[in-house]
Amino acid sequence: MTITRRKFNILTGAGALTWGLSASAPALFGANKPRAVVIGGGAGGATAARYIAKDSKGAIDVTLIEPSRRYYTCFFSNLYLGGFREFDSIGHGYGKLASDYDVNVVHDWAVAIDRDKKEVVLGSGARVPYDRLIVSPGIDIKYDSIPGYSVDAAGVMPHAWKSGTQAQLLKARVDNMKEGGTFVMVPPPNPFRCPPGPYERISMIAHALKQKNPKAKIIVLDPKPKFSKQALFMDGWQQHYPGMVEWLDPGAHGGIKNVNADAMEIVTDLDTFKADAACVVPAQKAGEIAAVAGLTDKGGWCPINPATMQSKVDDNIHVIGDASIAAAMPKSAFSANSQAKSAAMAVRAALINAKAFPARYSNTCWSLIATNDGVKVGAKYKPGTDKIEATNTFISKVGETSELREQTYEESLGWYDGITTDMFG
Amino acid sequence: MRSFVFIAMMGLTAMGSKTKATEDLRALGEYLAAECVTCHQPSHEHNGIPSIIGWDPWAFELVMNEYRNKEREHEIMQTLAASLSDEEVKALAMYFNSLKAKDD
Repeated sequence: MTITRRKFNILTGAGALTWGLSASAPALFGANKPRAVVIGGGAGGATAARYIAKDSKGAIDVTLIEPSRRYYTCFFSNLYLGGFREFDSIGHGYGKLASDYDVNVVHDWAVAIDRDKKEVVLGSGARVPYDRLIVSPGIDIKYDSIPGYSVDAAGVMPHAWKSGTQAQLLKARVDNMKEGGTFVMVPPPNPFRCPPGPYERISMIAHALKQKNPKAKIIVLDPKPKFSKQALFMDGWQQHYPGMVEWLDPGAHGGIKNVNADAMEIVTDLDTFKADAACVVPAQKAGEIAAVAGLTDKGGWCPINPATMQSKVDDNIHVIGDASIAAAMPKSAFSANSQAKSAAMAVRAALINAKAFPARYSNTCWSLIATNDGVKVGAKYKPGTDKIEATNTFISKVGETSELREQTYEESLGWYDGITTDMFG
Repeated sequence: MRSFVFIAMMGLTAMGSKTKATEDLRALGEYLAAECVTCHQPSHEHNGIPSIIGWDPWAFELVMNEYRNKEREHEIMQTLAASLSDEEVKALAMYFNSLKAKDD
């Protein structure tokens, strides 16, 4: 990077010198600013783009590559399923990043990364050169991890694990369930995006059914013997939805064998479950571009340097958010936003010699169990020598007062506004 | 005369380093604040999470010290406050004090 920086300084000097002499000088000046490119406009990528642009005050050209014109957050999509949020309220545009922060927002797919030439190849065939690249592609679904599941099956048994249209489909299917029908939820195996997410989803669907279809049942076929905030969710289901939610661990159902979307059946070793509506969330991997670019390990996720979020296979690339192996940090929007700030600082340090402070990481995940019954889990982290380590953790307790639970829920609403403003400006 | 010039120069140097120290503290505060603004919006908007901009620095430091000593309830704030040194709390107090509400 020293060479790049030196080259940048010399060229900037030359550009400044010719500014008054030639009409083409401003173009030359702009063309030689160091370039940061960000792949993915979610909690990691949008935050990273905004922080690099904001804190470099125009000294770095920032390009954000994101196919969606409008981003629907996965966080709070469960509240939409429960009827606590309107769909529009979880959608966000990129206009402010473009107009207020001068981020060049490109709505296209990144289909390859030419790491030798330091260029991102777009779906349109265009190439975007970078000095530093931030890769924040989130997750992709491993459709073949459950026999019988597929892109087609997802149209019938939605995973709804990337929000947007899939969340709308799932809501419609729950709303249209027959009276007293059965909803089957298949949570994903570890590791996956948003550890408490499947269980908040069960809570929110139970809440919706309690209003409109109180005799309906929810069966959870979990591939895991335990899950995040388990005591809190189990206690909440008992309290708010008695007799409605039946959670079965692998010992009770024998393991998921396959699904049959046409017959709406989920087959386990011990039984076949017939569903009137279902949410099947398969295993996950880093967003496909990470694997295409050779940034993933055998497990399908990206090893990183904990101090800077730099890829362990390429110093010019930082991988943040769900796609990274952040060890103790869960795959959450809060984590991605936190990692984005460390990566943005490292990029500014590398490209314009900005001061690099030590990376700071934190996370909190709020979940809603029922009206005004919010819970949370969180931690503070530090970059260890080889991985990110937790230093201090906390979690809500069973039996907290209803005032505290309501306050926790109110706090999650404040966080939603805060983080989405921090991402999109 | 010589001693007057000398004292004047001393004064300038002291002033220079004070400005540098203030700048460093502000830079430290701005960096640390990135962790706060995920929840506490720098625009003064608030909804379920209090605004922390424009506070008197002494009040900011007092509250943060109460969280550090677990004299004030809130697990997230206690966890975050425990990770900050005295200087870092001071830097945050100064930084958030310097932010002004957009619509005030």
